[in-house]
Amino acid sequence: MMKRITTSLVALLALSGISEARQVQMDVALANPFLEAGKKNTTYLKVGLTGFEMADDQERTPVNVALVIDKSSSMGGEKIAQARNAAKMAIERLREDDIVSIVTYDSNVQVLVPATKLTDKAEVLRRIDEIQAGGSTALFAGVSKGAAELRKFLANDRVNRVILLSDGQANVGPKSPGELGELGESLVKEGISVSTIGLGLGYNEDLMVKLAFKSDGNHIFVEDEDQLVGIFDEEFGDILSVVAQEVVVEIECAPGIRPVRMLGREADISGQRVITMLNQIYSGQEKYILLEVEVPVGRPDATLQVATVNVAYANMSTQTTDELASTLGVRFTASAELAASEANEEVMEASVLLIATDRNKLAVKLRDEGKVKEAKVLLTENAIYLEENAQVLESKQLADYAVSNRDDADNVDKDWGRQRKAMVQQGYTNTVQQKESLSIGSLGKRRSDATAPNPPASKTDKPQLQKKSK
Amino acid sequence: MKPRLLLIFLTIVLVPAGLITWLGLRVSEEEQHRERRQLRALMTDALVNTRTGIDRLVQDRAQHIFSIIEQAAVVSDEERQTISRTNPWIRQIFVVTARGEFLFPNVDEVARLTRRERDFFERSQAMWESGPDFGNGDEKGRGQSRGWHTWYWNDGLHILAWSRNLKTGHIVGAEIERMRLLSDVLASLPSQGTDDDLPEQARIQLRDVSGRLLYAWGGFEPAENSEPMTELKLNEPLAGWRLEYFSNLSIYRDAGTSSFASFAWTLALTIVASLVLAAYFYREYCREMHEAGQRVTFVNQVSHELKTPLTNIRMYAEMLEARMDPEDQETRRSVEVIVDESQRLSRLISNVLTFSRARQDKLEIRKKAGVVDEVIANAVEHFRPGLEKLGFEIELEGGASGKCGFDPDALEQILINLISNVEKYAPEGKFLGIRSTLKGAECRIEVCDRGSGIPAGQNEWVFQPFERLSDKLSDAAGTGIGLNIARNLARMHGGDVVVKTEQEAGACFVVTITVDPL
Repeated sequence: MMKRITTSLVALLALSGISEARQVQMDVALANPFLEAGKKNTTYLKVGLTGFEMADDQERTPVNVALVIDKSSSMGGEKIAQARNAAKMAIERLREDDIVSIVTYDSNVQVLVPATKLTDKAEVLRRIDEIQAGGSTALFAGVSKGAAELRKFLANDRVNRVILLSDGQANVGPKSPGELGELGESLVKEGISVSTIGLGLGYNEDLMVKLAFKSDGNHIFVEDEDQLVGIFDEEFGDILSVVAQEVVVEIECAPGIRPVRMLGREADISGQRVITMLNQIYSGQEKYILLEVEVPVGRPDATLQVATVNVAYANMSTQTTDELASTLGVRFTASAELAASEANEEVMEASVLLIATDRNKLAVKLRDEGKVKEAKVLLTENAIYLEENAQVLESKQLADYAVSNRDDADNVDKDWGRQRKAMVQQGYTNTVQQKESLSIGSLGKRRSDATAPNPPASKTDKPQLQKKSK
Repeated sequence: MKPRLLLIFLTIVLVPAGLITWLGLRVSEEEQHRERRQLRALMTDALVNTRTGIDRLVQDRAQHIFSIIEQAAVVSDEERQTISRTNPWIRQIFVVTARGEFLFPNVDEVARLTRRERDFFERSQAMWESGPDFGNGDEKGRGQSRGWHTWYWNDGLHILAWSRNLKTGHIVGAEIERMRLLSDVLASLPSQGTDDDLPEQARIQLRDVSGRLLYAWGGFEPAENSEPMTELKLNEPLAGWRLEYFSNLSIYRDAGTSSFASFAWTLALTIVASLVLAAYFYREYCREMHEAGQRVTFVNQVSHELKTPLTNIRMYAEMLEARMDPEDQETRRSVEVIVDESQRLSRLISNVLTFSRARQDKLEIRKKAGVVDEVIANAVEHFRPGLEKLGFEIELEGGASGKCGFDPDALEQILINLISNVEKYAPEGKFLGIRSTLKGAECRIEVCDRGSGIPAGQNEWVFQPFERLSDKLSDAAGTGIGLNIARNLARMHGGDVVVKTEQEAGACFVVTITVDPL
């Protein structure tokens, strides 16, 4: 259950979103602050949340981590050896006030290290050395036991995380992505995220992604076990840099404004109210949500209030529940030129990225259905769309993703098992703004100063530029 | 003789062996039945305990869920949405009127439904159309007021909890986060290496309603599609799920086999031991028989060897007696002793030879014409000097003076044995009475004394060879074969020797023989 923090600090911030120290920074913006008068407009509302920098590592939030390690027979040999190394490396990074538990599973489940404060590292390391591979894959039960261990010390002043490492298909217990997704959805309600690490080419990426997505954890595709130690290092870096948790974003649209859909994420849209949740915000990293809204016809030079955004989150630094609020409006103009030139490039970039990501996912679906040619065409189109926008917005991220889509188009008929995992992983990274370093893709870091084009009005439309380059 | 022995030995060996086999099989069978019953009871206990744990967990969660449902009955729609979004146990809250109209989520404004609510209707549409059973209750509080309802959609069983609001009659319910329920059930079950884990040879498996394996613990890996030793169905709302107990029965079977094997070994050992014992006894018996045979042969030969010199001694002693000076009383007495003793010795030898002939089935009866009374008188004459010296009164009552065909030698030997017994064992009676009758072919001779008699119950026993009424050294010497020889001879002669039972004092032997009338 979620514990409420007693003290609550209300910080109302200006529209620009200048943050005080130790506060999550919120940026609320519309893709088109100027809309063409006299017609119905569709635009995107972006709420960006950037975690504050931590002063030093000593101040970081204590964590409550369950390592759930697949030790089925397919993990034999070098894989299990590297898994042990990765787990040991992760343990070495933790402090005495962190809580760790280790669960291993094959056909049965073993709680190797029950949830405990890490006062005896040597003992935990010794237990990790005992892990040997053999048996079937009771993935659901493994995660269940891991979550049960977390619950022993569940608190919202800790980072509660299950890290699942698996290389195979679940074959004992629930095994469909939907069922694992339901588990993830329930876990995140308690503030538990599940990060899923898929090792090799044998695991079910849909299942692993769904579990991570529904619980707001990370998903990482690790093709080669040699990379495991590095990946664990990154994942723990992420966990150790959580500065805010249980983030509830509530957007109340003004009368007349219709919220259409949330890009990438899931949200409860009920009438004018849109509510979505993020389980955590990492230090120095921006997480954002994009809401597609329909703005009614307006007269030139009129202004219209669009939405009020309220964000509540548990501040890990001050142990308080902080609130942020912002309102934003739109101005109508008779000039289509002006409307286009005043578009917000950052919001545009984010929108293009998520739209392209959706199309990339559609390509995966087409390829699954055996429509190789159609998938190839779609990926090539996507690459062109990204290239055009990358040029206009001068976005390296979009350019990199264009390259990646071209690469996908070339490889969609070869080595599909590996390719699919890479595509699913990249799509997930884009959707939840996972750190790029957590993916095996060769994409560079997102640029915060990128300029952005306008996305197409509908995802099925051929992508078009609304704005000329600067 | 030999086949009978074989039969006896086989009986000695086979009967106990068979008995042991039968008893052993019965015991081992019974043991197996008992063990199986006990094992099954233990397994069922383990499953019942597990189910009790699951029931407790479900009850605990149900309490929480129903308390949330009660809250949901009185709060705003917005708060109901918050519950669905934030409660890890509840997927979706709903409120329907008694007539089945939705109050929440509000289906009249489809556009206002959240994604969560739309998903809920997609999952549950078929269930609503089929008219779910909410206990047939009414506003007055009749009927069931809360419960579970399950339905199938897409990838399995979905569960909702419902409660009837007694004021409004509305049904307020919650679809359960079914994967969370499963997850908590699994997390509550034993894991490998904990105190509540099973022994290595056992395993408990949890299967859902479609038979899918959900969870297992215990080290034993049952073969695919193998039947569980015992199983148990779970209760609501997990009805249809079941717990299965598997056990490495081969260990149990091995135990049975090994007990059977040890039993078989015991049996085999018993048979071998009995055979060895039987063979040993048989060998001993044969050896003794052989030795006895040798002894009889030896005595026989010795007796034969003795017979000739004894005859010479007797003949010359009698010749000497005839030629003696009647005045020389002292020498005459000495010669008389020689004659008496050599007569006694020849009787003894003739008895031994007859006995050994009887043993070798070589005894023959050679009948010739003669008079029974003459043979009786002749036999008595042999003993008369000795008996008179002891003061005996001799009473002869001859009734068989007719000539007839019989073996006089055999009859004489019978009579000599009987009279010699009287002389030896009943001298204190100082009486010998012999009475003979001849009726047709049956000749009957009674030899009576007035001695101490034969104790009751030993009338037959005295005829056994080498058995004597008293073996005291002070008593008269004897071989113990006399009566046996007498009876054997009489029986060869178509009659018998018996002890006359209605005797007041002393003993009376009745000899009967069949004679050929001439």
